[in-house]
Amino acid sequence: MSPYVFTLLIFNLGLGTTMTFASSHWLLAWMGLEINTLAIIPLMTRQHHPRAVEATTKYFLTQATAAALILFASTSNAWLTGEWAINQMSHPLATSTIMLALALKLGLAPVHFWMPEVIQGLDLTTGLVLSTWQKLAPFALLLQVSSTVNPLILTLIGLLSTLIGGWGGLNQTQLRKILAYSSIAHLGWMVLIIQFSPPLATLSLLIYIIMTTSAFLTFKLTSSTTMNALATSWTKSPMMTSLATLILLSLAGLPPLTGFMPKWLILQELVKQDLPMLAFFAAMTALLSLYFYLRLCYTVALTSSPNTITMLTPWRLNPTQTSPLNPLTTMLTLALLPLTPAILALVIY
Amino acid sequence: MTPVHFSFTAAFTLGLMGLAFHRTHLLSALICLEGMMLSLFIALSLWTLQLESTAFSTAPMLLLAFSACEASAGLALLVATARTHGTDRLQNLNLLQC
Amino acid sequence: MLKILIPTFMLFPTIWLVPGKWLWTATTAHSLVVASASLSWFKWCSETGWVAPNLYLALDPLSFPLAVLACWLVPLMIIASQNHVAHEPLTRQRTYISLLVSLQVFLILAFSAMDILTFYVMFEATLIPTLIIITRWGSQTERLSAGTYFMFYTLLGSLPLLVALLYLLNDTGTLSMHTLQYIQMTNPDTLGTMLWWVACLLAFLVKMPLYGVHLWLPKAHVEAPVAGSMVLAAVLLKLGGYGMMRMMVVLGPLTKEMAYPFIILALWGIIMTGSICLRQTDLKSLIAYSSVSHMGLVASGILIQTPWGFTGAIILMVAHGLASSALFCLANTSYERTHSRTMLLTRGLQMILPLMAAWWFLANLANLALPPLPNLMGELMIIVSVFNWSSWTILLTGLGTLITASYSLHLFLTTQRGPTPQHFISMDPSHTREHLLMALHLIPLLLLVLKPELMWGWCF
Repeated sequence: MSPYVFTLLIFNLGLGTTMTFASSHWLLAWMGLEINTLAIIPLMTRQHHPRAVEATTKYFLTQATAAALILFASTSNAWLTGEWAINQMSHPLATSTIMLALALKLGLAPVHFWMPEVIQGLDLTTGLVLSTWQKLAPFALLLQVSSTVNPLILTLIGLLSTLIGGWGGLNQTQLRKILAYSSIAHLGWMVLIIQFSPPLATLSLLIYIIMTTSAFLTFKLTSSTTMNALATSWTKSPMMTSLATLILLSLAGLPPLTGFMPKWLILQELVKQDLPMLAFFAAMTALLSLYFYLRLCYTVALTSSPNTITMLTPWRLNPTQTSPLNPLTTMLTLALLPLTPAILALVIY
Repeated sequence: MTPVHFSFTAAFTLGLMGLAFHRTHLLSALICLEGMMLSLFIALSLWTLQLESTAFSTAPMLLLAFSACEASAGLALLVATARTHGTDRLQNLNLLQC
Repeated sequence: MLKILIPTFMLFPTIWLVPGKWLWTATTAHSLVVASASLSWFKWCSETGWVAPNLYLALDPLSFPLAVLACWLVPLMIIASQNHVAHEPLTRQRTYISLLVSLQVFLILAFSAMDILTFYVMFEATLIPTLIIITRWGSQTERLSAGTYFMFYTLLGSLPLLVALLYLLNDTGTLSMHTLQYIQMTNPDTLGTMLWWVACLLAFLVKMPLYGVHLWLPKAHVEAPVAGSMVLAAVLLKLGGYGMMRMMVVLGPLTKEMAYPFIILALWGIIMTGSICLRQTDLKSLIAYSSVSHMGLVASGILIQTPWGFTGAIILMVAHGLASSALFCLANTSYERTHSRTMLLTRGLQMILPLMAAWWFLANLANLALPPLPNLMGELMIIVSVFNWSSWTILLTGLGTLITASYSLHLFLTTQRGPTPQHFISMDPSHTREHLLMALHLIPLLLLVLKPELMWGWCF
């Protein structure tokens, strides 16, 4: 791909999301979403490869449908109530439809099936963009409409997402599918809390983005996309693979690592809203996700797999260039928990 | 629900139903998407006509432009799929399942 | 607190910067210095009952014996694992010691936390280093399932605890141990509060472990390397007992009825796990099950909530920590020589390692609670207070003591006495390092006979 076209597409990717952020009118928000989708489609098919094309087609169909549904629901709302502003939605049918469309766009539970397959077909960098940057625009819309959506729908979608995200990943050996399911589970936690405390949902999205970035970048560094490749990746970068254990446990949300912070705050907020049983079930579904993260940990650094070669060949090749982002996000992934009060003060109060 | 509202809702729902339940060819999926977009175009233009608001009159044109872009991207993907998978049947898009 | 915490943190630069030749010597010396400095916690003379209190960290007579035990265990773990980690690359040795030291940091913070949520976070934080020690440095392939069992049993108990703690925080507005003891919980007997009660204790009962949720413990002990077994038996199980005692203050009058099934399960577990020990073939598994049996006694002592029960529980926890850790070290010395944990294959070692047999004898006597040792003190106090609660329990506790004595003797007789088998071709003599290790385990135990009020807890 020519660098000019590439730059143009990247800028359009940013433009689409920014337009959605900045808009208060549904049509503009929809235009932003469309620009965003249209810009990432050539990026996804950069390698003309059957799997990339298939992933792009599936992505295109779901995103176009979701965008059309969003516009349809907002038009209906306008016909019924005469209001085009995003945060003034009032008709329950329209808000429910928009919630489902946003769930389709984000890859939330009842309509999540495209997500693992699409990420599986892409390379790790595009997969990273898909599971971080592409979530931002729909999430911004979700933040604005969440107060008008039926709370039951939000709770059901959230709980189902954490459950399915944990359940679906159990049987996978492909890293990108596992990361897709982890994305579903994390977004489920955010949807669970978005009706009670939108800033908290934003904070957990931010932390999820940091954590998943370091996971994707680490896998990219060792260029591993399956668990088998991960098992032999320690020869390529021993330091990063041993840290990958901690990154994965942080994604799982174990206490001294950053990933515990959003879980803790979300559970606290749920209990504060007098929903201890919901908090309990949400916490239990996190155990399902923990199982596959733990299995990844076992392969990545806790066992040394039998090698077909007797010598450590990858030592002799030139090491792959570490992205400058990787050490930063890894540090943030591992050590942000003690800063929780400061972050809370910045984000919430 | 006014008749106008009913008609474009019905058209959109028909398109969505076709997209969701008639999953044989990629081309038919694209046509259903286009149908959905056109029903939205009708909705937006009728909104402009009914309220006689000139400020909103660009909206249907913008929508049409974007849906044209979307359709062309879809057609490009159709060509790409035909070249990589040899057919445009949606059944054949099964490389990534497991 | 920082007087101990900062030197503990400075162990990390020691580990990573010291030349490879001096790695084990320097870290052992440094951690011994930290451990002996931590003995200063014993000199508590404050009227409030808290040592070095501030808003976040403080120790009281309940927690400082365990904190000192945690500090004391680190040099012992480093000494114990010298031999089997020594053939690994230097970086991995350093990583291994770093994990042990990070466990010490988390344990000190857990025992000295003033806020129950801080305690919870540190309680959970010990999981990751322990998991890595078990699954990375264990020897068999079953270590992976042992790690999974360990993680999931513990987390299944402790995630409800988190929700229950947050509920309590929401209710009372504070989780600080300074203020919680003044809060009167008036719980109505509804299903919700009962569930809350169970959630508050389940994590600690799993960690103890209570009979019925103990299956992770033998697996983890058997698969872990020696340092992992030592720290698990000596300190990590005690986190459960410590947490229970802390929560008991909060739980209020509900405990009186709710504790019945758990006390019965704990007492029944003493007999069951003791019987399992009697027919056990695996050396480490036997010691692990004996831990479960002793911890059943501790759990029942805590659950009946009398001062004697609490005192007996903490004495037994400290004494059992030293004794069972010593037994695991001894099991490791014979494992390093015979490469087998099967008791049929490691018989008659007295002829080959006579001095080791003396240590085995002492450690076994400590395990079966011989009169002057603090083990007996703890067991007696718990048995008496449980007897006071219901006289029928003497059947269970008395039988439990009998079984404990018999399997300890069985362990000693099988591994040490009798003719030496023919398959021992050549065997290292016992090292000074191992004798030092045993001495450092058993001398504190003997010294505690002279001044048991150091670990009497609140009943001082």
